[in-house]
Amino acid sequence: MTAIIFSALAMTLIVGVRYLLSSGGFALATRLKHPGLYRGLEPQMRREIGWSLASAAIYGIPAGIVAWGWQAHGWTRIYTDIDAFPLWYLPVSLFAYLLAHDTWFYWTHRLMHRPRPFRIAHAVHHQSRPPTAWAAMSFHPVEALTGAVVIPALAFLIPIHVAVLGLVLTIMTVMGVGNHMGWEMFPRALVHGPVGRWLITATHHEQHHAAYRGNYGLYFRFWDKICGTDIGLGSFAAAHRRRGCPPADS
Amino acid sequence: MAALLLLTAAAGAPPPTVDVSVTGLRSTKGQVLVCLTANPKAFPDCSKDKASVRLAVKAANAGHFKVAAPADGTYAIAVVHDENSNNKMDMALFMPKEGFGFSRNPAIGMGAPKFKSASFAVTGDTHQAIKMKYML
Repeated sequence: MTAIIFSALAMTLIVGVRYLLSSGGFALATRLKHPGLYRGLEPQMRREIGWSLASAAIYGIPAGIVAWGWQAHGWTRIYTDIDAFPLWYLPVSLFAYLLAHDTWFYWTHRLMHRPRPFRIAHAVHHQSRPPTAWAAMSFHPVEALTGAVVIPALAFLIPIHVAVLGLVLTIMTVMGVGNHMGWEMFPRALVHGPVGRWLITATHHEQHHAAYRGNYGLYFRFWDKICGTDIGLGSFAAAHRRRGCPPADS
Repeated sequence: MAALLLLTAAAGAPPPTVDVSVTGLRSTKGQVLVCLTANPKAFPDCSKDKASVRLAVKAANAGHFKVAAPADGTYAIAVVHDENSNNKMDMALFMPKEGFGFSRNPAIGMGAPKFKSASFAVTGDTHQAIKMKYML
């Protein structure tokens, strides 16, 4: 029992520190690249950090329990031996995790936008107007719970090499922060080109935070396109002009 | 007869030998670093333990070799397939880039196994079969 509690606490700490480092890093990049973009948003950013740190515990506890079970009882289908599956399976498992997570996120996120769940939980995330790099994990505990169970559950279903799992978590972290920071980190050719037609970027997610309806996906525009909820790319121009700096793309 | 046995023991019978066979090496490149220790704190890299036994065996000859234990006792063995012969286990992304293996072949999760799960009793000559594992 002590080992489980220790693992859950350790994982909470890891998730919290990961949040502070990644969001802090991107907030610093924002300050260098677009000085003044977050001017006047200090009270909002304090709220974002508070909700995010609470979410860290909600993400950390199930992850910690599963990590303990993996160590102590060989739970999950996480493998360490590179040759346990053919090498082509490494990218396949990466995409399987991203697609599964994206699907789960799309449908739970749409649910979160129905009036009752929105009022109870998701409104917290949309209190960020406009979101900043600190908003990546700024969720009400109820919503954080829906996000926290995905990867631990997938670990029991889809075999994955521990290094690929690390890559999944890295992509999750970078995209979570990047899509909320108020400017586009990817080159214009990618965002507005063929790749950007299928990939969710900050420019795409900004439109979700501006319009509230549509653009519900996490990594891919696939579900939004199929279900007719894709409302296209947004623009940072208004936000950037309001704060007295040139738009990101120019 | 009993007296004779006692006499040879007292006179320092040859130290017990651990006969090691390594399987699953992915190439015959480089060498296999071997660490045999009775000290849990020095496991798995034999650091800070003067009584530990460290040796390097050519990978081509690592299918079968002998390690002399200092005396009877409880030991654990760790081996590394040092493919580039730089006398250490190379890491990438916090993970071993080179193959490794342990006596009793314990399950591997986060980090190296504990001494307890790799240790075995040496009372006279004994044998250990070690299966190599490659994470990257």
